[in-house]
Amino acid sequence: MADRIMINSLVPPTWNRLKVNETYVELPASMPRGKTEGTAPVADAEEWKMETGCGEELSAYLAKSGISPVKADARTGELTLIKKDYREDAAEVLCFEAGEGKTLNILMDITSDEDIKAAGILQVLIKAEKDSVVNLTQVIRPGKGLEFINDIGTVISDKAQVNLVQIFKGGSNINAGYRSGLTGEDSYAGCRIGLIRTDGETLDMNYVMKHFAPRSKSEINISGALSKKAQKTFRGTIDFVKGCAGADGAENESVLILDDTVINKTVPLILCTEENVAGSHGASIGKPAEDMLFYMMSRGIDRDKALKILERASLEAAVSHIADPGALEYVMNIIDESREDD
Amino acid sequence: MSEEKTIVDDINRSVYDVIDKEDNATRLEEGLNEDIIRRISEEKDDPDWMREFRLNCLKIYKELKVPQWGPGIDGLDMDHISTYVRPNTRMQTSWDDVPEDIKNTFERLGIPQAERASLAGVGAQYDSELVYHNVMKEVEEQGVVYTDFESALKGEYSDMVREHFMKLLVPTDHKFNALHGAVWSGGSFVYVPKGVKVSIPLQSYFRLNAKGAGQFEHTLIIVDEGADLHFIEGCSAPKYNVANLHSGCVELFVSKNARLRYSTIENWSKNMYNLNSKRAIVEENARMEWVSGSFGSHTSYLYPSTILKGDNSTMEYTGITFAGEGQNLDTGMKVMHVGKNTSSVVNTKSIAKSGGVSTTRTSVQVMPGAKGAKSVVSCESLMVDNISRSDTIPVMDIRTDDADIGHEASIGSIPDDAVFYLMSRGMTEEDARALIVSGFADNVSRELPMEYAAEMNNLIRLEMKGSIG
Repeated sequence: MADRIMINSLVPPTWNRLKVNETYVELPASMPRGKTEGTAPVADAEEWKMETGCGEELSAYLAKSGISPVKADARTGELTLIKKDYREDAAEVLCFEAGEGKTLNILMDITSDEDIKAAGILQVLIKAEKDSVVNLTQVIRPGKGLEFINDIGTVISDKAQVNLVQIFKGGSNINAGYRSGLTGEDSYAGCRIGLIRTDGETLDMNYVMKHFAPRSKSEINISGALSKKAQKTFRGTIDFVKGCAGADGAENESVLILDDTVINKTVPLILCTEENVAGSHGASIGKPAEDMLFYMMSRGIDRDKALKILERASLEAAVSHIADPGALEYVMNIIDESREDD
Repeated sequence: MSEEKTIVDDINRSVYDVIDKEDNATRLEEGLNEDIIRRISEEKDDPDWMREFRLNCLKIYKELKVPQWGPGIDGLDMDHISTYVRPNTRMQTSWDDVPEDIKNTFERLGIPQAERASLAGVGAQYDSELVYHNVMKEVEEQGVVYTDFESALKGEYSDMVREHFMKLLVPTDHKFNALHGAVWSGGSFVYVPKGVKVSIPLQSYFRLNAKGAGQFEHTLIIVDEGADLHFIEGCSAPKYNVANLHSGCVELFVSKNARLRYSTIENWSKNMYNLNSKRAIVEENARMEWVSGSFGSHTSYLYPSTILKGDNSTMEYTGITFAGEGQNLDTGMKVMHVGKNTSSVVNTKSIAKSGGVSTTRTSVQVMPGAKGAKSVVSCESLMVDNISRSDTIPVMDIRTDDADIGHEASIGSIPDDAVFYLMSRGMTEEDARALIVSGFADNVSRELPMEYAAEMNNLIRLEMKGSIG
């Protein structure tokens, strides 16, 4: 018996006819636990309860399936590489804690074989203590048969930073959630996302930056390309809660639409109950500039190849923000490999 | 002589809050049922098709749910709303024939004066019926039809009315369209023939005087090929301690090569639930312009929508919303690009003050095949204090590759340095902040005729009064 779970809810909602208020996913009644090397159960699961982008129903489903949080062994000054290759249904809650003044560099590579039919849920919970930095890079590139949910929650203390870089390429249906609780003064959350969706692939996203503390800052930057019946919905919310005086939140999205068969939905909310804040959103959605294509074609690059170069550029816009050199090299190699495949 | 509204200096809300004694010829009991619908239909001497339409809308109304995505409307109890209140007069074409108290109310609001100074025609609705309607002879001679809706329903243009009535705003769209279809009363019908350019605006003004009543006027405007019209809508009501309801419908048909500008200054009292619907369909090479100022009401749902059906059709929306104490104003716009090479330009501003809640809600949809669509949306919000709330909820749904869509939104506060500068030039802090807010609203006031821009600035000053401390 499958469970029908509501995820990625838009708060507050808007007109129902636009079909962006939430997404429903069907999951097995229970999911087996996934295993990541070097993890250990957290001492007190209650201490890791936090809001995430996908929302309460997913967390409740994981709890019902007995998926208790495990703490990953991430050490300061080292790159922690976590490879998740899905071969069957699996769900996992991975916790990372950066102690005061520490820096964690984490790279996750999510894959699955093309012929595997499975469902995967990965929930990542991050606590960034005072003056700490967490650099999380996720490359999400599963095969067509994996239905994947990637869900993140963070709590960011005084002067701490969480920098997220995500690359979405491949898979069929991917749902992604992210929520930052900017509870510390001068805290920072940044999301840089590169995405390519094609051949009927879907990506449903809900990203929330909740500013509780004074002078907290957040940024969401998305660059991507859609073609061949792909669908993407991006919900991005900057929420200024009363008391976050001096906070600053910005969202930017640039999406290339490469043919007439795609659906691109963008829902960038700014919610505000504090007077002294600065919030902004900018979006640019459309086809590639003809003069740019003309220039490339005049240099001997055919139109299809030129479009591939622009697709790749949309990933590189995000990748360029990867702080750790080792992680950067790893991700660039993946992008280069996929270029050769193309 | 009673107090009159003046252009700039008057910042006295009492102009809007004067209550006339209710001396109604007819006031139907509160609530909504088939008997009430039949009696409204009888009062208005509806043709058979309209009576059946009303009854069908009542069924739809009962089936549909109250929308859950917007501000709460729990304080609106239809069992305590009287849907039809006819004043003790029939429609007149001379102000001299309008009963003294009603005439005085409209004079205080400046309607006869505006008619003399700058309008080609005026319709004035009081509660559920028009009490005055007149159009300049020269405009009439151009073939322009501007009449009350009931006359249009039965006269020479009855087929045209039937062909268009609630075809854009269909009753099944949402519960309050269905309510409107069931109980509508009053409003205007405008037809501008092919090629006719109406050089000065027409205006309808809606005044709801009756306590605990609803106003459900219907406005239908058809601008034929190559024609041009500016239509202005104003509204106000005195404040009561019970809920009043406004649920009007505005349907606009803009034909090939035509242009229509629809301007609204909404200043309902702060016990009003303003659940209004407006939609325009724009044909080839035609242009729709919306200018909207929302200041009043307790709760508003107001999103003028535009269907850019024809190739090369365009739309421009300029709007401002000012939410003060006790107000929850959910406003914005919707546009759907269907034809090729269509374009929309949207510029919204919102101000939240003294605990008011302002939500700017927009949607831009570009349908498959709408090649060459261009849309630019800008939403700016100003938070005047930290007890208010300001939300921006835009949606873009793009389904073609050949589109150029831009969206920008920002939120901020009144800059301290600007207030300091103005105070250093001798202004009080209150005046300095009011001036800055008026400047913020400049995009709308520039689009309005001078008298209306002055009224809007007047309303801003009124709202900003007492904003310090």
